[in-house]
Amino acid sequence: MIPGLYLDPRVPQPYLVVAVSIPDLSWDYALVPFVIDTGAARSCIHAGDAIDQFRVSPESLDPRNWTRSIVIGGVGGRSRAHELQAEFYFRHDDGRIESVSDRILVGDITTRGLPSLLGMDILQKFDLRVNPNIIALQRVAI
Amino acid sequence: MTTATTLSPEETAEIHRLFDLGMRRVRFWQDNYERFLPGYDGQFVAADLNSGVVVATNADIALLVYELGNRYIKRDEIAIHYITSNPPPISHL
Repeated sequence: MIPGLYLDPRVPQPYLVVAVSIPDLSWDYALVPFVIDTGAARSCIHAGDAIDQFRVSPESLDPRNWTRSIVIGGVGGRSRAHELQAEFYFRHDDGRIESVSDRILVGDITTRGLPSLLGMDILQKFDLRVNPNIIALQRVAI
Repeated sequence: MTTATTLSPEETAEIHRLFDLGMRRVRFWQDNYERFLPGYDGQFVAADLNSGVVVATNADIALLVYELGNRYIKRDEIAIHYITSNPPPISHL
């Protein structure tokens, strides 16, 4: 079982902390607090976490410096993102590390006020359980 | 695309270190958020994990991170979080 948590007792917003490696963004692993968002089709690291956790420069999140970008939209509005290959590392409650390879979107600098999102592209690989006392993911066999 | 990656013992240790550090930061903010709220509403706050002392604040996380870099502050012992009286907050471990 992979445990999530509520970071703020005032808000019933489920989080999952995931270690992420994006070789085209940073040499280092980064720990990203994702909001579990079943309404998002794609997972996205927004600019605040890219700057804080991956330690990339704000300039590198300017779409004018990207060779390719796509427009993404959601309840937070529209912005641009680029798509990179990532490795997601989940820690089980027994200490096991489980990895998932997939693409991830990295939002442009205008997304720095938004939390990063763990969307259905990743969540669909898991059974998800959320209630006021527990947030848990369990890998499903595909 | 989904594949499992085999990690070396060193990589596994680094990932566990990150998770442990992340949980220290979570506990820090769970313990201290209310204390910082009156003075830093609407600010990203960088605090020393050991002493609890605020080392820098800014409404813009990019400028906050610039300042930490300019002051050569080691980031591993720092926790950054957005403090707001208007939830849902933006969370940074």
